[in-house]
Amino acid sequence: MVKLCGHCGEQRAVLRRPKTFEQLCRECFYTALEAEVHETITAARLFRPGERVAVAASGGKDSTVLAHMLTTLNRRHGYGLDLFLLSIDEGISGYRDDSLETVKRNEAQYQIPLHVYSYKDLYGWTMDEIVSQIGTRSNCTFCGVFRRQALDRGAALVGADKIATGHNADDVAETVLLNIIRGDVPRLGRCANIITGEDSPLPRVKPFKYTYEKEIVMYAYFKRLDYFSTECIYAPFAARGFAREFVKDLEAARPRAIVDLIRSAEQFRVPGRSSSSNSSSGAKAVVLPQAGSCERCGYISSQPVCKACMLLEGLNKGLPRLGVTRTRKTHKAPAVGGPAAATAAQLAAAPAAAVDPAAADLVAPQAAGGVSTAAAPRPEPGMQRCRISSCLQAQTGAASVQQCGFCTSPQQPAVCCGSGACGGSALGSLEAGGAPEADPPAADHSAALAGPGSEGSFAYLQNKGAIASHPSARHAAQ
Amino acid sequence: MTPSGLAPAEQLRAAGVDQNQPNSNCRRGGQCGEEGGCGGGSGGGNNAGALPSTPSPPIPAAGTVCMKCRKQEAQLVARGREPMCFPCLHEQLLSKVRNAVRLYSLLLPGDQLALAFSGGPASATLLHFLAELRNPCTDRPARGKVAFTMHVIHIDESAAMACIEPSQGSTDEHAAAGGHSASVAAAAQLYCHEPGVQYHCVPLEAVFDGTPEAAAGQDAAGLQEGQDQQQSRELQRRQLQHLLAAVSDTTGRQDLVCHLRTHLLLRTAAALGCCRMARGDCSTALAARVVAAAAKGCGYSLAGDVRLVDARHGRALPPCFLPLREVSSRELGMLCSHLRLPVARQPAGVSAAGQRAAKKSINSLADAFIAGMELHNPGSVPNILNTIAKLEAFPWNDPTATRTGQTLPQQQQHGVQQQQQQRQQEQQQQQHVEAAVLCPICLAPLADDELPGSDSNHSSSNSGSEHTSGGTGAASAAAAAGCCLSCYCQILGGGSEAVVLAGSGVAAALPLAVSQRMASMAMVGSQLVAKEAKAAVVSDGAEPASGGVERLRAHIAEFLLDT
Repeated sequence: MVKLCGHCGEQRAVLRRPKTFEQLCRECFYTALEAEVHETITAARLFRPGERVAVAASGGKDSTVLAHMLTTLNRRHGYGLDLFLLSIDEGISGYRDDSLETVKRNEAQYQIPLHVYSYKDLYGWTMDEIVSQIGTRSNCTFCGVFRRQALDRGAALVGADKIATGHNADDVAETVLLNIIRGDVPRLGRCANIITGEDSPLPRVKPFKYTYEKEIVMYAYFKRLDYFSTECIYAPFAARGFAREFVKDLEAARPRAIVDLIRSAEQFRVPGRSSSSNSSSGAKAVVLPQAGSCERCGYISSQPVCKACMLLEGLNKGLPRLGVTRTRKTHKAPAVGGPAAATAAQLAAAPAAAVDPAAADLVAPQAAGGVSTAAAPRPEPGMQRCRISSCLQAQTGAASVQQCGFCTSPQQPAVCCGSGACGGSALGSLEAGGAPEADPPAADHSAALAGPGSEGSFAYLQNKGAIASHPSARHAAQ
Repeated sequence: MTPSGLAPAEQLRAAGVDQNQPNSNCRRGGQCGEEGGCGGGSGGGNNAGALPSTPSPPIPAAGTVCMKCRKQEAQLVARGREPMCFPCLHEQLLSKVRNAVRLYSLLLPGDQLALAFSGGPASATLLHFLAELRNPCTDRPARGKVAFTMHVIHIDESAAMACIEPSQGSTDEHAAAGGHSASVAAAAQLYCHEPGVQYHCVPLEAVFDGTPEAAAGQDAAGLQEGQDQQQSRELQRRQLQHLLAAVSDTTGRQDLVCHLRTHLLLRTAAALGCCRMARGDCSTALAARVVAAAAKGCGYSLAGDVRLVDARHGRALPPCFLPLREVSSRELGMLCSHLRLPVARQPAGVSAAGQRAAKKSINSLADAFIAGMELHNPGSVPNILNTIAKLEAFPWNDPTATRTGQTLPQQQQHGVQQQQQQRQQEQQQQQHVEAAVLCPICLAPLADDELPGSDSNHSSSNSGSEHTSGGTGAASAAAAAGCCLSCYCQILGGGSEAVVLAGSGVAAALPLAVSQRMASMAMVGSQLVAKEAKAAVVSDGAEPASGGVERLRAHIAEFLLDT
């Protein structure tokens, strides 16, 4: 006895929808899934006609199906979108180079243009090089922080209005769980939003917010879509694993649980959320960190220096754990201001569009998972840390900005901790006002910061017990 | 303080009461609080969850000094890397209870307090602490003690056990369950010989009683009508089993038992004249409940579930408080086994079928998840509770709203008369704390889109459909049924057409009070929609939409009060 499709009743049922347990034939499954995504898009008004939308493409199943479905729906329902693929090449050989080949084939299959930006171009480092520096422990922190920014930069360079990412319902549910466990209430409030960074020039949208991972895989499988299915070689034990496993268990117990987790996140009484929550209960609204821009690269940042610049600085100076290792608070970061900060801000010919930190929601938990909590040695009280190089030889200058002698006057490197540990001439010249006028906007960031790391100074600082994170790094994730 | 727990335990053993061996009280080493923690607060819950066996807790190296008193040798590591001695642990946990009670004047002389008692480590510890805080002589004040009356209430779930855990054979079900409630009674017996402490065991099927007073007074005055009582109980027992059998979802069945238990506990406490109810939920159990509730789509009500005070019923039913909500199950387990507090035996081990059922239950998955998290990252449980504590609480979570005017600790020494005056003031104040609009089944406050009649307000902003998170489709169907979306899906079986018929069976089999409330809730919806439509015609749609939900809530609360 052949089981017939529960929907059309004509074709043979070939699958059981994981979300609803309906027995469907191929065509009805495609129709159902496409209709759901279409409904999600129209109900949340994700796109407007004429918009230029970057489809973040990794070559994996989610982004491949997203590209396929967006082109299909765009044609079928006349969204009037100008779609293109946007890929980031992290420079992981054996993983990304293969998946990029897939994306290139997708370009031909879906007839939409592809743009690729690499970490090497944007930051001067490939992930392979970074891993060779820091090992496989917190490499995901680097990759996550860099990729988030790289996508925004790439999209801005190509002139996109929106970025569509392939985050599916399972991903969102995991993020909700992780945010509950981490205690990050502001992020918990917005991690389930279908559009993040709505007010920024480059919002991100998740058309697959309610689409189950299993169904995406089925869709790709039955449609014989060309996708790449290998785990990143550096992330076999990513921090999400535990939550991911739990979400899969929940789904097995009750498929609705995934959507219910998303619903919970939407319904949480997050203080300050404009719902019916009675303001009389006395809870204060969560104060969001003030969004500013990074004084080095101009990317949006809640701190004077954005996380990516922080990580880069560490890499370039041969202190790769800078900004990764969490330390106990030693002393407050001095108020940033004065002439040095001003010049730095001017220098950074902001190449990236300002993007709401909310865009980081889906990336950050993954990144933060790699954060180790090894305690760094404490500096002695009374010692001031240089704002720029984090060395312990800061002198309070007339401008009341704590910098070490090297960072204030690069002509006399001997003044700084005696080792030239402040990151070589490139950093010094950037901070001191040597203007890299000739650099194109996109490249100046990497060019200015991609100075050679000095192994010797690393060892020296280790001996001095001065390796600690920049105070601002602790909050950079927020 | 050690002898206070030890001596009566030995008395009991001497009296021949079958009791666990001191060392086997805590069957899972330090983690045993887990089981009782969940049932602990809830007065009789037996967790169907299979917890992974955990390694024994670290023991501090010999010669380590207790970090609290810095005198005695440390005997345990209860949290983090803090070596402590048992007296300090006892003092620390007791002071948590004492402070909570004092700060918000939760216990005043002459009060009648109900304690939800499951017999697990959490409730056993809480009973021990409350007994320690109690001044048995009403006429002579004692320092740091309050003269209050305590009603220890246990809900006997033997009727429901077979439905929740299919692993248990039906033949020995009666015997096992009877054994359990007997061992719970034995555990409570220690404290109940005192005049001001009473033990009540109420069977879960009593939730079908028309009059809650009958349920409360059953054990005291049930002699003359013994036969009748027996028969009606048997009837109710079958009614309950019929109800549970109608619920198709494993998690839904467990939750329904839990909700019925809460209903019955509150009703019994109210019938006994208690002004408050203490529950022993510990942090581990609460964290697991948070995760499970999030996975059931109850995000809105979560903010109110883990607070110290929960007065969601307004004046209708006594408010609850959770004095152990910051204590982990590990601490409770350690203290319990050290003091040799009598802990009721948990019925039946977990069989293979039980483990398979556990895989189907969101509650037991959440328990296992939290146990695993605690193992890998001990800070995660407090983290989860902090997260939820940072969410905006409900007005009825405000401990000051239910406390007397300006009662400060030093004023407690004033005469009883003044206390009574304050109590009256408090009752007047409580009138102002309006009852929230709750789901009749799970007693969770309804989210905006679950309010009956809310689709008229929300039709533009929230036009999702079945496949999204709620959306108007399912939520308004739930509102039409008169309960929250989560209960609608997992208990009534709504959401998929196949089970709608079975679902209607559930609605009909629910206790009368619950189904009546659901009906009136559903009625509010249709009436309000009509009203809104009329208002819209009159004002020509010029009514601003902002504050609509607030108004709607007020309307519904008013309406429910009237009926």
